Amino acid sequence: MRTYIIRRLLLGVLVLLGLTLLTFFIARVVPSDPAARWVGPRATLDQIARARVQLGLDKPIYVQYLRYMADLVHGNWGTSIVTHQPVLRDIKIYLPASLELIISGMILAVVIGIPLGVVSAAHKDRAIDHLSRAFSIGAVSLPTFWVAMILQLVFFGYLRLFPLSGELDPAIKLAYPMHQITGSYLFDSLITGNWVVFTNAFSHLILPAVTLAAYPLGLITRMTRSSMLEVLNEDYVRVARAYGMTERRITYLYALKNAIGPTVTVIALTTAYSLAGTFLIEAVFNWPGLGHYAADAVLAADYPAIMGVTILVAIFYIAMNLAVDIVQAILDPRIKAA
Amino acid sequence: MPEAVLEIRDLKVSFRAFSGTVQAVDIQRLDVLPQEILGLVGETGSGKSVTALTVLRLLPERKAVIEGGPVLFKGQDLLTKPETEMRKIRGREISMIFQDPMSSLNPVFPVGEPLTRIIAVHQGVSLKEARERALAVLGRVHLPNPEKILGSYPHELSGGMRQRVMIGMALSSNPDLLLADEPTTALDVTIQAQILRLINELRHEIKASIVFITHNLGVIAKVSDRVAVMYAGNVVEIGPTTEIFRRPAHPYTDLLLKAIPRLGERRDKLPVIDGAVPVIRRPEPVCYFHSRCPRRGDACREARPVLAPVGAGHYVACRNPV
Repeated sequence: MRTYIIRRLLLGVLVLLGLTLLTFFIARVVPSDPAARWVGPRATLDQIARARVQLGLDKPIYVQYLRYMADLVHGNWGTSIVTHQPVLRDIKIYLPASLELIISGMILAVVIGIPLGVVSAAHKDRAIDHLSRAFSIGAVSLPTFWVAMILQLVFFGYLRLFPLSGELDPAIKLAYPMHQITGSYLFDSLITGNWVVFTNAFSHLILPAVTLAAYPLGLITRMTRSSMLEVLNEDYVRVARAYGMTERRITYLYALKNAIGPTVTVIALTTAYSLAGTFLIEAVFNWPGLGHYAADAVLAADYPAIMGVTILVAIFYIAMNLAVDIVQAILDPRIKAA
Repeated sequence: MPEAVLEIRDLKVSFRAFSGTVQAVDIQRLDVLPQEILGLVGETGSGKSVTALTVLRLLPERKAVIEGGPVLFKGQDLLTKPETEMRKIRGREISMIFQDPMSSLNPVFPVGEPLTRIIAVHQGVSLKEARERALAVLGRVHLPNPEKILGSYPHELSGGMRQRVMIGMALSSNPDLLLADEPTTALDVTIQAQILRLINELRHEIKASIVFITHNLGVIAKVSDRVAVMYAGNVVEIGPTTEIFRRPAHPYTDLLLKAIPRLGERRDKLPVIDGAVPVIRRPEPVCYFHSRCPRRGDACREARPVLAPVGAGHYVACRNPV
């Protein structure tokens, strides 16, 4: 198991290296002078030239890359052209809100999606199966921003159950100053026992989390259903029946452990995708997440920020893939052997 | 004649398929006697496995239609038993071994998991006690190092070892009836012989009746006390093994036996039975073999032949037996 993990880890490092190379050169190829952007629109040529030297842009490109890599490793991810703040510090501000949203949304999707897929497969072609299939197709195909707005209309507009947008009511933010630990209101208020902030943050989280959960929920349900259908036809399932095992044990233990593999992959990939891919949700709910930051950076051609987000997302993807590999190997001992 | 362990009477099983209903089994009468090995032979699609699965009620309920009966096991009708009752019978009183030991074992669990679980459930003991008994079971099927096998995954064992595990699982709760569905077909010939020897050895120990399903007549000759020949879902001939092999009465059995190549005998061409087993969409009162039968007469198309005695314990369903 250990050599297996080490091998996967080395592979991940290699992928990351390739990615830094790619992002670095793409950022150099685009027809926009970083030095000019750095000093602003009304700078003189002389100022631009000085900025070029200051930023190291006069050096050969491989030297620039090596410097960039060295900086990266030492936690210096460059300075944002727009905010004039270190990119890493910017990320630290936006990341907790993103993680909060992704984790809660994915938990929702997994907790509902897997059982729904299993029940659907176990009762193939019956009412519950048709219902779950219609539901999952809807969840996958309805546009995110539309789901978001409908939820706002119903739960804020008509029912007044949840707040419209944001992370926290401004009044509460002022009245209950938080001691920042992780930067996530929900988590920080939970561990400091600040219940007023916690309940407020929680009610703010519900609609965006449900919106985010919709797509992975549909995907997880469909994936679980189809691989369960396959597994339920396997000989060992019939053998388990022939030996008097209960249907519940067969479905949720013997079959599910065989069928869950593809679902695990889907969970990991959609989680990784969500990190910077939830811009639409963040926009509708005015959620201060990484998607927001990334979109702003792209619109402003803020290359250090774009590269920083790209690297972060890549690390996240690699970590997720590694997690998938490990989980798969734990689930199925045949994988380690291969 | 001793009371039969299993009595099948007038059993019809058909499947709802996309293209309509297909009849798979239509058995007038089939008994399994105490502690005997009954060989159930026939071509692929003759209804052998379906019969076994019907006894355990393992056919998919929405696809299979079971009519007639009863199927009496120790005097009780299995066809009318509720599912919870059946679950107590499966694996404890009636066990089944399947053809492919690779696909019969769950690939993502150590083989000890189902084995101990089955023992714990059926014998009402703790998992710890069940583990002890599982070790004993593995010893009984002559697996070396049971401790290690119990924690092994199926892919870490050879085909023969896996089938030994399956046999151990089948016999762990001392069942009265063992349904062995082609238990040696997927194995090498040498391993086949070992497994046959093991089954023979254990049946005396356990005093179980065994229904041994195969299409291999050589295997049947070696292990079984009686043979039932199936054709197109019907039992067409049944009798003591030596009787059947020496004096086959049904033309189908006769042709099957003639098709076995013999050592030392040089034949350029083996005799074959022309045609194939018919697919029965609409049951008719005819002998289903008549289209392939060299001894057919007009009567064969007029009524369904009934099993009638032709010797001691030897019955055949044919109007014009050999």
